[in-house]
Amino acid sequence: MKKLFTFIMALFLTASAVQANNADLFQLDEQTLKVEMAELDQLEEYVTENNMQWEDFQGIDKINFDASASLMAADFSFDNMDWISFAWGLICCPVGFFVVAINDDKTKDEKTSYWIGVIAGVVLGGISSGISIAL
Amino acid sequence: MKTTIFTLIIACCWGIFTPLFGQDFFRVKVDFTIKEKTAEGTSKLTIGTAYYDKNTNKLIYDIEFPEKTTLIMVDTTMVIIDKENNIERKKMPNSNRFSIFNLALNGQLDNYGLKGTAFTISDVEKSGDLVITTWDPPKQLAEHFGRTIISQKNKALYGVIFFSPQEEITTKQFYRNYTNVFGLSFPQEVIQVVPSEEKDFYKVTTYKNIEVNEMDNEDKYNFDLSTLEQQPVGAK
Repeated sequence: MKKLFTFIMALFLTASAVQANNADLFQLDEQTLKVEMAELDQLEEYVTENNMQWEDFQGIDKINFDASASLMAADFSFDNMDWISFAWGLICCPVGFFVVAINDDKTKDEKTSYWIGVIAGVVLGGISSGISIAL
Repeated sequence: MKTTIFTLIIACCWGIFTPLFGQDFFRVKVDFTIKEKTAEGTSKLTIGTAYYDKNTNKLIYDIEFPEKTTLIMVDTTMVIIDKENNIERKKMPNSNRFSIFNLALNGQLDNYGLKGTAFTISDVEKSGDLVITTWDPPKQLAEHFGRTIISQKNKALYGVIFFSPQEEITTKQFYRNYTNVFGLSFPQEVIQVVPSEEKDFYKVTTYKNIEVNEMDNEDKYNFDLSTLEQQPVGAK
């Protein structure tokens, strides 16, 4: 009886821990997010208000649009836009796409497997230039 | 007499506005901004407008920053038109169906488009105000994908967690600040987090000025790619 009770308690505690863990996964560090995006938020505001293109910033050493900030403090990259990675980054459900891809008889070949492997790495691994390298 | 006139007015209004307030959403236009801190240590900003028509399955991105560029995605082709009207074509898998635009228009965003695919639900639980569903991949994808956990808050997609086959979290996504445009629910902010040992990387996509079933940009939605074949000097 004692063993049965211990087993049931262990099971209950394990299930509770799993449930708590899954919910905990959806916590977002708002403070870190705010800090990480601070420079980009400022750049967005500046670009939008002044209707600027990136070429407008060339040759300018320092831009003070805020007394406490400078564009050159951050390493902004606007060269060689990888448009395919950009497009894939806006795909909501890449995993759903892969299911369609593997079920499509027309694309059941090595190339499909290759694409799945590459895109999985890019989209899910946050590698921004993987597809351009693959191409 | 007054009752008849009133009834006719109501009937006319119903006939005019039902396509907007009903569930037949077929087109969406939205201004977007993407802010990203990459694993390579750089910061990226992209600003533009997206146009999507689910009937033609054509997705157009008008990029304003960093430089004016138009991307047209239809079938397995991506056409890139730069600010000097140089044209470049790339091949890519047909992916518009799984864009946030198509999923939202078809009311599939809440399940991340996984319903009806070969992914299977292995667990559902409720925790606080979240309903959390675990989806397992089909065998053919088990080599590349682990489970996917989706959470909903107030019946709307709230978060998505991707796991590798080795049970490591590869990416997290959060969908929030939903707005309702004539009955179409659309998140105005999507946050992607890529965890790593040293530092997490963030990508924030914001959507605003969302328009549903708008008819003012037919040239965008009905862009004919065959006309690009006739481009004179300057086209690649």
